[in-house]
Amino acid sequence: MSASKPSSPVLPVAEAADIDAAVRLPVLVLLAFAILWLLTASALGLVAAIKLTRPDFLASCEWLTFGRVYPAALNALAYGWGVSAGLAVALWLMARLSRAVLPGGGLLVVAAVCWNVGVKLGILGILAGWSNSVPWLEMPRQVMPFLLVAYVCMAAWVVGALRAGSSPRLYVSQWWVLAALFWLPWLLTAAGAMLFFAPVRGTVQSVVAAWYAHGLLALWFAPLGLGLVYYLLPKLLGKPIRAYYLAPFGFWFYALFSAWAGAARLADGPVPAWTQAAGAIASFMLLLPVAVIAVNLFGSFLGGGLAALGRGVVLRFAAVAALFFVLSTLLYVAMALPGVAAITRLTWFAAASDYAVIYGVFSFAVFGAVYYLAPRLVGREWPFASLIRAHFWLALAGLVLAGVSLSLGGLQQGRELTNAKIPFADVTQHTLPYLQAATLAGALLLLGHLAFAVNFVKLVLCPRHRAASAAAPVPASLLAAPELELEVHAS
Amino acid sequence: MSSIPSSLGPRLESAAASDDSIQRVHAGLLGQKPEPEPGGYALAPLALLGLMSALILGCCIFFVRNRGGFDPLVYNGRIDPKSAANTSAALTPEKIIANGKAIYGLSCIQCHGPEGKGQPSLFPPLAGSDWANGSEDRVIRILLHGLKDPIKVKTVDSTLDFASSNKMPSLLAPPYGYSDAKISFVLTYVRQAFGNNAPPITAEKVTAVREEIAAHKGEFTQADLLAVP
Amino acid sequence: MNRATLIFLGAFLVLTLSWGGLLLSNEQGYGALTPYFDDNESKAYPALVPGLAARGALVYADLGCAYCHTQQVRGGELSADLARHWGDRVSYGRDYIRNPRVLLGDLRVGQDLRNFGARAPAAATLYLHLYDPAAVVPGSTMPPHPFLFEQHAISGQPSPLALKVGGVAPGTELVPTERAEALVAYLLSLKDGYDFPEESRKNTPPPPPKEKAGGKKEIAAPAAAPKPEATKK
Repeated sequence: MSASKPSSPVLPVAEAADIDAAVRLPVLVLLAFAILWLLTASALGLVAAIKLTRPDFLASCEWLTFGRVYPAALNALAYGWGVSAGLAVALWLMARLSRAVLPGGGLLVVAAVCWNVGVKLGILGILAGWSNSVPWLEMPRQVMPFLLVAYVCMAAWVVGALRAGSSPRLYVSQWWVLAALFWLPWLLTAAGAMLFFAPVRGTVQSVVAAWYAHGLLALWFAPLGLGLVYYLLPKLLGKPIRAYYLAPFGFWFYALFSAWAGAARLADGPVPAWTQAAGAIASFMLLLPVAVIAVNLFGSFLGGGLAALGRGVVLRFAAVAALFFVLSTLLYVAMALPGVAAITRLTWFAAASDYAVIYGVFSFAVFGAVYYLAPRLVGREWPFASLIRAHFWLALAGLVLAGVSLSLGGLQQGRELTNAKIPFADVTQHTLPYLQAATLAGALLLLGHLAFAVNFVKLVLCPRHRAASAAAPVPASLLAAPELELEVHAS
Repeated sequence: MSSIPSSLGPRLESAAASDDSIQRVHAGLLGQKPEPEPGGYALAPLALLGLMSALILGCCIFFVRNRGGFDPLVYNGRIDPKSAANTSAALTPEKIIANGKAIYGLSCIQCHGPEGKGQPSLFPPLAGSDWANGSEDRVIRILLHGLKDPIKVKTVDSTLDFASSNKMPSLLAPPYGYSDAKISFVLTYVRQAFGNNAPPITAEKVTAVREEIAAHKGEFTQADLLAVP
Repeated sequence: MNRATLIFLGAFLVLTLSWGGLLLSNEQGYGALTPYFDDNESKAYPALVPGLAARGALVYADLGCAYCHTQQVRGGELSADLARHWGDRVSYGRDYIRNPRVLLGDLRVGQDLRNFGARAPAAATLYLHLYDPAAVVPGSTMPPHPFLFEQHAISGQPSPLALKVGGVAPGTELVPTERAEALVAYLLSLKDGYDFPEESRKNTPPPPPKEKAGGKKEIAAPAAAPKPEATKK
């Protein structure tokens, strides 16, 4: 860490532009795929949500029966949108923070195409009836090795950025991104092998599935989201992370306990009691890292940071992601308490906390990052400010509406399930208003994503939109790297 | 540097810090000790340490109470398998009857019939029979070693005599080879089915009788049986 | 760059630890659980799954039934699974060892199906339920599965499985496909009737300390009663 300090505090403009130029093609290609998947996932999800309350909707189409369209939507969200967008943003972030001018982005584009073809085959497989029915691992096992290879090729590029870079330091964002990139293939290999290629027997399968499901959410989506938030906050606020010396504790404790917390998903189920208890205590221990991370992230907003929320939408996306990280982790902690688990497990409440991670934490952080990085990659500003604002508010409204309605509906469902006097059919009937609200939320999300997609397409494809608009031309230097010295806060 | 306009709004957000400065400043902060509070101590690490200790303690207690003895077959952690092991294995009366019925259907029904009525002049009835409802010692002996020679059976409404042409085989011998428990199940079933209402027979009682008559060879006769109480 | 290596090693170690601690240890602990042979009944439990039902399990997976239906009767003090008659006892790990793919399920939009075979209606009702759930349970939100049935001309004797629903053209009948028959066979095969003695012993709370009547106790109670109370069926 004792590398010689650069004499100039400001990063030379040319270098940032060079870094961005080197990753421009792969990042934009990955983002384009990701946005296509996001639209697909929101549309499929909306169909699934409608089917929950109106079972006759598209009922005669076997490919779109609920049991297929719902996992297809989740897989499109997780692997289509999640992995493509996550890798795109991770690649840019790693190149920037490592100060690496990456060569050979073309190969990465090939890997990205392979990955997306694999996901497409997998999702068609689910819709056609080759689903495994294991949550988050539904894609037919034949595409899994293919996906794994494509993923490793892409992730190796991101790690390569670290090696090729000239920066002597590692920032906290890089820890989170590096670890997440490594955890996903580990999880996928182990779970795929133990479930599909050399299947274990009995409910050991359920332990594997719970370990994977929680790992995907807590060791891939949440860390990537956190890595972005840790980067965006000082970047936009101009202030360092509060109590940064605690950040390593947050990282290691979170990793250590999240890896075990999946077993809490099996509370009261037919798996050994000690396994359930181990999952529960790992979840309780998550209070420790979440406290550290909350101090780190929210501490940055102290002293005028809140006012900055009004200025830019990137910061707002990042702030919502930070908030939902804390919230969803606290939900996992609460759901590990035996009395709470008995009510919330196997209800919409548990599902809502998973959606909160994948959408509230990860997707919001990625949205924020894309709004920051895409204009810099392309060298133009976003065409429609109104669509950006619309996206933020629609996404936030959809997230909150879905979260609140599914949590409340899930709580009621859980309370009624534990009361045998209420007939089961009534329990399901009573959740319908909440599911209708969640359907509305799905529609809001889809609208928001459309706004995002339109803006992105226009940004990338229409170089002359600025001439048409009345806005003043943007100075080239501003586009390239209007970057300042981070002020060391005193207090 | 402060001349960067923030008026561009969301269309192009301006950065407030360069990547290099973010890394440099934070690298310095990483090794930095927390600033002490007015009292001379740093609050955040202390609070964190306290939280950690409390969590570890709570989690240890929770785990010890819910670990279910690390037994992979214990699903409810709140039950200690050691103390639960003292409770007797659940052989409910329904279960005994069901087992007995299954054995009856397998080995007895061919001669004694589905209703326990036997067959006239060939196989004695069990329904209402004084033998089936009578002495435990006698019925157990019949099942253990079999029965030969004529026998007189009283039922509720008649008295029947059976010739010696058919021998009842021993249920200990092949092809049956039944355990004491199984013999007790089928006996309990027979004594409580077909309108019979005699007390059940335990596996321990069967074991006791089997040991008592170990020296006896071949089937019992009516005379042998009437000699025991 | 040294720190990056450290983070890789640490990340690897952390996940490997949980893999060993949760997955490998459970695989060692009860991954080789065998069926229990009941000497008294001369039968092994859990029973073998018949071939048609085993194929039905694949249909169950490909249609994604597990997204709305769980297959686990849960214990715990608050759980009402036993009171809802979803099973005579909680599910044990041994119940699942004959299932090639264990689908416990995460969400109870529909009822638990672990013991559905023990309480299932007649097969004809079940077919109708699959075809049009709302016709059997008014207001049901279960998706209809018309694609599991096919309409064809009656040749010779009408099929005994033909659905009795309106809207079928005269001279034709609506019969379940092979997949529907497999699925129904699977659903009817779902029952964990046998109470394994070892699991039963280890998971039945000891009677004296706390006598909070739960659903589970009611089953254990008669065992302690003297046998003369045995009644015939």
